[in-house]
Formats: sequence, C-alpha cells, structure tokens
Amino acid sequence: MSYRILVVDDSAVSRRMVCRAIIMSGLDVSEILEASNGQEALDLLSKSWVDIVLADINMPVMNGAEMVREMAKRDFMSVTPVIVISSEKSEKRMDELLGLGVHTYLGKPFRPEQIKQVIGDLLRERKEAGHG
Amino acid sequence: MASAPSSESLSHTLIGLLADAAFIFAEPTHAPLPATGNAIVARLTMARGESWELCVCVQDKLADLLAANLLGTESETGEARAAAADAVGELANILAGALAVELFGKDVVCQIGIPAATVETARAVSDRLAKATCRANLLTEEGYALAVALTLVLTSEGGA
Repeated sequence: MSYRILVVDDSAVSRRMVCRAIIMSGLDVSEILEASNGQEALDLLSKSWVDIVLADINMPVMNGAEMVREMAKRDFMSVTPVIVISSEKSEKRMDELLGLGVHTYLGKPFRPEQIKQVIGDLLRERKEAGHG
Repeated sequence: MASAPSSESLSHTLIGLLADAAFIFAEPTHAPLPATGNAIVARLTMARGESWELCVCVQDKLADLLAANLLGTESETGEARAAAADAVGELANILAGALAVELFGKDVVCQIGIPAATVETARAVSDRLAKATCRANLLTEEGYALAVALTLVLTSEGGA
C-alpha cells in the first residue's frame, strides 16, 4: 500500500526538508502534498484523502494546534493521524498537543531517520489496530 | 524577569544547532561582522509576560550555504539563493525553541512568533546588534560571519 502524506509548514525550506526526509526514508509514498498553514491544510483535507499529516505549530493564518482542533470536529478528518514537527521544546506544549489528539511530537532539527521511525511506528500501530 | 543567557551560552546553542541542522561548523569570535556587504537578518519574538526579540544576522554568502545544506543542493545555485532568507528564518525558529527553554524553562508555554527575514546593510546590522541585551558572534570554518542577539523589548510589568 502506498501512502499520501500532507506536509504543513509556513517555511518552504522546512517543507522541503521534511519532503526530502520522507523520500530518503524509502517509505512507499504515492504523493506528498504541501500546505503553508492550517487553513490551507484543512482545504486540502476536505478535497482529498490523506493518510498522515506532518505539521508545524507556529504558522500564520491558522496554527497547528487550531488545525488539529478543527480536524477533530470533522468526522472524515478526525481519523487522520497528525505528527507535529516543531522547534518548540516546552513539555507543557507537548502535553497540550498530545491531549488534543496529536499522535507524535518530533523536535526540530530532526534527522531523516527520525521521520522514518515515527512514520513507521505510526503505520505499524494503525495496522495492528486494523486501520491500515 | 528571565535573565538573559550569557554570550557563551548563546554561542554554544547556535554552534550546536548549525552543526546538527546544516552541517555548518563555527566557533565563537570577538571580531564584529564584516563592515561591508549585506547580511540576511531574521527576527522573531518570544513572549511569556515579558517579550524578547531574537535576531539572527547571517552574512549573505553564508545564508546561501545554509539554504543549500538544508535543501541538499549546491550553494551556487539559484535555488539556494532564492531560499536563503527562508533558511535564515528557519534557523531563527529552531534557535528560538532552544532559547525559550533557557529563558522561561521547560514547564511553561512561551509564544514564539513567526520569523521575518530581510536583507540589511552591514551598518544597519551593526546598529541593531549594538542595542541588544546580549549577543554572540561566530565565524564558520569557511570564514563566514554570523551573529545572534537577544533584546528585551517588554518587561512583564509592561514597560520597555
């Protein structure tokens, strides 16, 4: 099975770094979509199926936490797992995000193998739970 | 009020991030940034009651190298040059995450702003750095210069 992944970050450089890490990871990815803020991500998610969202927190227009809250309100988006990739290192912030339903929190700077690890873990968990 | 990190601490944090994120290796220096040419300056605020401005100033050639290393391309390409300001902004963003913990601690949420990057002359950068509460200058192994500065812009009592 190949996966569709959405990368959400206001920095084009950061999106490129994440996309490169996904490609280098060797995961079976059919398409990588990009959005520069939470609202753009919601617009994309409302039009097409995505298997995993990788999102930053600090973004203009709609930040990552607001995006996750909005996704939770929509049935068809609420099942889509979100991995947050952010420079923020506050444990309280991480707890807040995990409480909102974020699957995993990955700090910047990250190594490509960390992206492979968190996506691999997520896909394995979902397969075991009968979602994948 | 949070106390400003030392120049050594600023240097140490930035040196580690440059090596980890972009394979750029630098050392602290007392020498100022070059008096000629341009630099890319990324600024953002970190706020929790009081507000601090983080400023990262990178010599333009180094900004190209930073972008190239982050993107996995060559620094002489138009692609790297076009991404240079965004790359310095991203460096400031990553640095802010580490410094916010130093300033406010791990157990609180600090509001980190969106970085804004601009091209500034050497003179403008020098004037900006002179007003900083604390700062550090670095020199990379390629001989490029960069500086990081933190400035307290609003105290928790509301005064500047």
